[in-house]
Amino acid sequence: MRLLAGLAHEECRQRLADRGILLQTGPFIVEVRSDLDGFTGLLQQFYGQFPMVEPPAIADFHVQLLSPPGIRRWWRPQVRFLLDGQSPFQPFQLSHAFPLFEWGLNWSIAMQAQQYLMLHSAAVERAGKVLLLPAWPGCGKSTLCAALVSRGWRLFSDEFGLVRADDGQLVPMPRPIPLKNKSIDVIRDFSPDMEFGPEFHGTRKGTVAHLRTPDASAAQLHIPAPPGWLVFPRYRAGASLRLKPIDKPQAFLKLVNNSFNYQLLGLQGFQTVTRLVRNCECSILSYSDLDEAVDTLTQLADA
Amino acid sequence: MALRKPELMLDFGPDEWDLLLRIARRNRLLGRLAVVMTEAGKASQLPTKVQDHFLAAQVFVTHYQRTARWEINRILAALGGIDVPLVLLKGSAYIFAGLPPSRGRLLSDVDVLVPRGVLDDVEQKLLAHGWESVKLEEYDQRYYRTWMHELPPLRHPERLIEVDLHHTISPLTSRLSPDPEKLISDSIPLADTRLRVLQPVDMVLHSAVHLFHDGEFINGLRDLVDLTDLLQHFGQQAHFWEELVSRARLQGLLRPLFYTLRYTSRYLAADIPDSAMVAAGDDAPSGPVLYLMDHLIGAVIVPEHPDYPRQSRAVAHWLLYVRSHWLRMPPGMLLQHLLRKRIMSWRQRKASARSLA
Amino acid sequence: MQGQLTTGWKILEENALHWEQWGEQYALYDALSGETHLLPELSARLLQHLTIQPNTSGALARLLCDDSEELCDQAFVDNVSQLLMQLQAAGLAENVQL
Repeated sequence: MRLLAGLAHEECRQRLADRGILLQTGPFIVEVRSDLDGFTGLLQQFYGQFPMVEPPAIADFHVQLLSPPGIRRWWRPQVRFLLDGQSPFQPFQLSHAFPLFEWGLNWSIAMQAQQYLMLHSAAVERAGKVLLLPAWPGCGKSTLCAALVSRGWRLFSDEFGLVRADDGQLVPMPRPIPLKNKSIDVIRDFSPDMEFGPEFHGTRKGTVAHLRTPDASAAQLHIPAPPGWLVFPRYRAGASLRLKPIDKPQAFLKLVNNSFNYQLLGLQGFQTVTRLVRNCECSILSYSDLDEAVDTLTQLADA
Repeated sequence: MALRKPELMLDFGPDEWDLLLRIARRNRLLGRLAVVMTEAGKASQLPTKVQDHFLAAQVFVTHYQRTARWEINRILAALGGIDVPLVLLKGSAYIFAGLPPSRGRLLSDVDVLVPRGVLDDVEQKLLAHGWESVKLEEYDQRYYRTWMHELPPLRHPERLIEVDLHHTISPLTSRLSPDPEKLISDSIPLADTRLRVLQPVDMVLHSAVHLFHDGEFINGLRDLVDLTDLLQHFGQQAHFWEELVSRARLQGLLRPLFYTLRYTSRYLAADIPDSAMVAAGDDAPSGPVLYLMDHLIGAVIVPEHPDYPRQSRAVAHWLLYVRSHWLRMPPGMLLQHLLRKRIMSWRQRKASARSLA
Repeated sequence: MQGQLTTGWKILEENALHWEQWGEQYALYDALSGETHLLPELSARLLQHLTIQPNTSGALARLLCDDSEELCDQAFVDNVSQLLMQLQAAGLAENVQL
């Protein structure tokens, strides 16, 4: 399989405009098409180390990033995201095409990939097991995820814990990690060698910049792993570090509320979550210092 | 049609599957496709990706069917005291009666027919048990109650499914007015005798009216598949076809039956006896109207490629939508209604655009 | 002469309830409603007794007392009645003629 980086820029641009490019992102094949000049470069920057699939193939998602028809093509130009030929949201301004692509793809996965239990969670792997960091407002999961990845943890996802119903394993889906506002500088300081993309200002979440997936994580995107730890992160400025175990019923309840599609999955969802909780060490991590948090979690994994 | 001959799909290459999955999903037939392959014993021979997509579709199907069943369960619990025949319609009927259209079916609301005399009691009971009326805007409330054949939908805040209570199957102002009392008195009880379904010929006619007169054709293909299923299933019963035609005549529904027989046989290879076709033809529309209908229905029923939507299809949808409203409302009201709907949806779009900015 | 009608309680359907237990706390998935519940010990055992067979409120209270060496006073019996009403509201049990 050829990597996207192997395509010359011009050939990439032409393919995107014409029949599209099929990208392997974890378990999903995404067909990407776009008529936007600026998009090609960013796609290659962030997905260069991912494999392209040669057609014919069954794509899981058919995604297009297009200029809208009419006046918004030039005047205060916009970009539309289409999934399977339909536009599920309002257009964004043209300069935010890449964040729209990322956000739209996440939305599409959440809508459709019901063959998995989907947790709203970061997932990183070490020592053959996955650490799940479920999201809740203000938890700092993406920042913590980025920090762990910069210290050698394998990136499964900063957004989705994809759990297989049959064996309870997590499936990787490494993608660019979006960081917002202050987190961008925090991670720049924490890990100067990590590669950032451009900053996008004035998005709905403020300023957003993306971290490129480490090559090693991308190279192992086809290797699943069982869950080992469920840690609910809680960032509090000035808080001292504390890793506090929680009881299973609590963890269960939090996870049920945290998952994208628990309700939809019915009995299978119940069984997958109870099994996950049974097999994991569950705790809450209160922290303010990123170094300490990363060290603690790394020790937890290496124990 | 892939649905008719599952074995053909085993030979499909990836690009054919790619397109088929997309089209099936768009037309709400992916669950049905999954069931068809499973019933044919072929599911495990399919490419893994296809099986994944089928799995995902079945999650939705199971969820929605469970939700509908539970909603009926809760309605029965709430109506405890009232002795009322609850006649299930459409999706709920297919599911509770285990009929072919229930296979792989997604349904987003529950439709129930009750005698007009007890409609208020039933509504009051449900409201007292926590259901709320959706679409509270005053114009819509009046529209629903006075002119449509249902109350404004009810929804219980703990559950997301809509309950539509009907007292007839065509709006009061429409040119067609089948007798609801007959529908109810001829309905058939289910295993749980508090629940009933329309007798077979009425079920077919109701589905036909729903598609060809009420219909906005969003699920045109799926609805036509339902009709084909029902005709194939009931068509095996003795005297079904004669009764279908005579009932249609009695209820003034020969025109929708004509369209049904014509288009199920044309697009889905339904096996319709000549006698029925001829008899239904007694109320065939005039040449020009039929020509137009053929064209419009063809444009909306045949699935389009998701990436290359045909302009004509969008226009056809609009014309059929207008037609269905024209059939339901006196002409003067139609313009007023459509105009109002456009203004409201324009306002909604402005509001949602603002909230995203 | 009128026959005595006993009202009692039952679960809605056999095999609809799926349990997971951690010590004294129970998670329950109800396949009929699609709802998930977290139940404390007493409610869970009450429901489990009902799963075995339908019963009256009084008899259930006695069974629970026996299990647990609780004091079988009126307060306890009333509590059990309340719990049954809650289970009914949650769609897990129903009140019927026995």
